[in-house]
Amino acid sequence: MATVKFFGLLRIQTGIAEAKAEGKTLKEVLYDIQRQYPSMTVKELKKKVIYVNGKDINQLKFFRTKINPNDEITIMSPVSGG
Amino acid sequence: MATKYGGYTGKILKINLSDSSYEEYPFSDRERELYLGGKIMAAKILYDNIKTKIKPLSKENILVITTSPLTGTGTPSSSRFNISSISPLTGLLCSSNCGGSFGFNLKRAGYDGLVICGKAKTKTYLNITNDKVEFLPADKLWGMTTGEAQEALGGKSGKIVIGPAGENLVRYACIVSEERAAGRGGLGAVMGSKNLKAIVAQGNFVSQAKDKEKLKKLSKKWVKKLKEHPLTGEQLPKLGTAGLISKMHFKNLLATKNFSYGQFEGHDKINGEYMAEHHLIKNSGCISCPIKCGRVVEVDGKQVKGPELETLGLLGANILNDNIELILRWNHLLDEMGMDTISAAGCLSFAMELNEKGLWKNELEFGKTDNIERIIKETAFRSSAIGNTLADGTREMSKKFGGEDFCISSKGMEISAYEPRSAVGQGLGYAVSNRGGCHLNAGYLVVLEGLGLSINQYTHWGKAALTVTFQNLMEAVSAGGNCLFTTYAVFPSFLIDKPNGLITRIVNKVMPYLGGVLYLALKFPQILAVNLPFILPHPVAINAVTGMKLNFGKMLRLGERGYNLERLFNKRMGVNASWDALPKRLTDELQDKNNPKSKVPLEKLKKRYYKIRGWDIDGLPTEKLIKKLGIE
Ligand code: SF4
Repeated sequence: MATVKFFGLLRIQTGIAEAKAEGKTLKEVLYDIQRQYPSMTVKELKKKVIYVNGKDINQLKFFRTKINPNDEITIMSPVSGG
Repeated sequence: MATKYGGYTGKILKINLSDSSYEEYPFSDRERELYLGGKIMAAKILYDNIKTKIKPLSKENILVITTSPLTGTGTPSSSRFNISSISPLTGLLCSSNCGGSFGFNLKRAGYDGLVICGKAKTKTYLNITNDKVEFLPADKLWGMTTGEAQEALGGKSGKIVIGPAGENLVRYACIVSEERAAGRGGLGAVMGSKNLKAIVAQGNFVSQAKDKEKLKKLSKKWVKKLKEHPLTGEQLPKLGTAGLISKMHFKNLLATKNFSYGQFEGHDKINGEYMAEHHLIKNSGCISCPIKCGRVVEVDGKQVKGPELETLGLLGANILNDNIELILRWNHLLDEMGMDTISAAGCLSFAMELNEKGLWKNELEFGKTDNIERIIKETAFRSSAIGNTLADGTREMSKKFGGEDFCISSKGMEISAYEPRSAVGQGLGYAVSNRGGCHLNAGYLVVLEGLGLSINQYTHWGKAALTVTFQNLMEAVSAGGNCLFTTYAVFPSFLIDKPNGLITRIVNKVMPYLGGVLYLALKFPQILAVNLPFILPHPVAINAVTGMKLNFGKMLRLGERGYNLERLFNKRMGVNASWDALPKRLTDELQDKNNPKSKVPLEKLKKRYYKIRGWDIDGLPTEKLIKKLGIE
C-alpha cells in the first residue's frame, strides 16, 4: 500500500495527516482515499497539488501515474505567498 | 502645507533631536503626485536631504517615517506605515514596512510623516499630540524590552519602540509597534544611535476621502474578494505564511543548512500545519485587515506572536533544527530584544558553517540548539565576544573570517528563507534588490516559480521582465498604503484552485515567454491606462481617497519611479553593477548535482534586467530615464 501524506488546509479541515491507500495508478489511489474518507472526494482531491515520491504529477503522467506499494504520495492544498 | 488631495493630512513634521526643535517639512502636491506616499515619499525626502555618503549611525543620518494616502481610511489592509533611513547593515537606503497602530495614530495626530534628524543629548522619547511635540526623558525606558517599553508607555496611543538590540546598535535591530516590526535593515539601531527609545503619537485628525461613497462601495467588494480568494481568505488566515514551508520543501526552495540544500527532512515538524495543530491559539492581524495572517501562540503561559515562514525556515531548516517549540520561543525573544529574525538567523547559520569549516572556532553547530537562546541575548546586548561579532551581520563576519562564497547575503543583508537555485528569478531579485537580500523588494518571483503558480523554476526566459513588473507593482502598492499580501488576490482564483487544470498548465508554460510583451508594457505603460478593480483595486481606491487619476499603467510608472529613485540614492552611496551580486554558492554550485540548471545564471539575468530597466551596463539609471520619470 502506498503512503499518502496530507498538507495544507485539507489536513486542517479533515484532521487527517497520513493514510495508506491502494491502487495501480494515482487515480485508483484517489478513489481508495475517497472510499476510506468520504469527506475527501476524488473531484476535490484532483484539484490539489500532488507529488509522487516528491515529483509533481505535472511532470509525470497526472492521474495515470503508476503507483508502487512503497511509493509516497503527497496531497497538498494550494498555497501561495508570505 | 495644505493639500488639495484627500487622504493626506497635508503636513510632514521635521524634528531635530539635537536642539529639541520641530517645524513643518515642505512637501508639495506635485511631489505627492510623483511620489504618492510610504516608501517612495520617504525615498524622495532622503534623496533631497542626504547628498553624499554618510555613516548610517552618525547624527547626519535621517529617519523618515511615512504613512500613505490610504492609511487610516479603512480600506482593506491599509494600516501599515513605512520607516526609511540609511541601513547600518547595508550602508544603503532601506525602507521597512510595519503593521501595528502607529501609522494610523500618526495620521490622527495630523501628520503624513516624520523626518527625524540629529541626535538627542540624553536618552529621549517623543510624545506627539496634534500640534504639540514633547521631548521626554527615556532613562527609565532604556534597557527595557520592546514589550516592557510599550507597556510602560501605556495608553491607547500609537507607539514605536526599540529594544536592547537597537540601544546597543546591533546592525539588524528592528523597530516594533505592538507585536509587529519594521524588521529589516537595522533601523532600530538608527533610532538607538539618536538616543531615541520610542515615539508615541495620538490626536483627533480624521482622514477624509474625496469620494466617500465610491470608497465605501469599493472597500465592501474588495473585502468580499479577499475573503473569497483561496489565498487571502483561506491559506493566510488559517495557516499564516507558515503554510508555505512544506510546499517550499517539495519545490527545493526551503533553505537548509546555510543554503546548502533546498529540502529539509524535518519540514513537517516546523510547518504551518504542525503549528496550527499543536500551538495555534488564534489568528490575528493589523487594523482594518480582513486577511489576518498573524499567529497567536503560547510561550511560557503568555500569548505571543507566532513566527512567520522566514523565521521557521531560517531558525529551523537552515540551522538543522526541527523543534518548533524552540522556534516559537526564539521568535518571541528576538521580538522582545528588538532584532530582525531573518538576519539574526542568517548570522547564526553562517557562524555555524564558519565553525564547521574551521574558519572561526566558536560554539555554534548545526543541529545544536541548547546555546542559541543565550547567544541571542548576548547578541542583543553585545555582552560576549560571540554576541558582539554576530551583532555586526554576516558581511562584517566574512570580512573577519572569510567564507565569502557561503556568506548568504546580498548588499550586506541576509537573504530570507527561499533557496534561489530552484527559483532563479527570485535569485535575480535578491541580487538587484535595492535593499539587499529581501524577498519582497526582490520582486517575489518565487510566487510564480513554485509557490502560487509553477512556471519553470530554472529557465532564464521572461524572469527579468517579470521581476521588473512585480518590483514596480509592489513598490506602488506599498506607497499607496496597502499590505503587499493584498496583491496575491490579483491571481484569478481558478489558477490557484486548480493547479492541475488545463488553463493553469497553459499559463505556467506560456508565462516565461511573455517577457517581450511585458517589456513593451513597461516601456509604454500608457497602453495599460485601464482600471480593472476586480483584479487590481488599489489604483481605484487611491483615486477614491485622493482624487488623483490613477490606473494600472500609472501605477506601474509610479512604482518604476520609486524603484529608480531608490537606486539613484544608492548610487550616491556607491552602488553599481558590482553590488548586484550573490555568493558563489548560489551562482556557481549546483543545488542538485543531476540538474545542470540548478544555480542562478546571474550575469545573464542581470544583463537582461538592466536592459528592461533602461539602466546602463554599470546598472545605473540613464539621464534619459531619469528625465522620463520626472525625477528632479
Ligand atoms: S495580511 Fe497580515 S501583515 Fe498584511 S495587513 Fe493583514 S494582518 Fe497585517
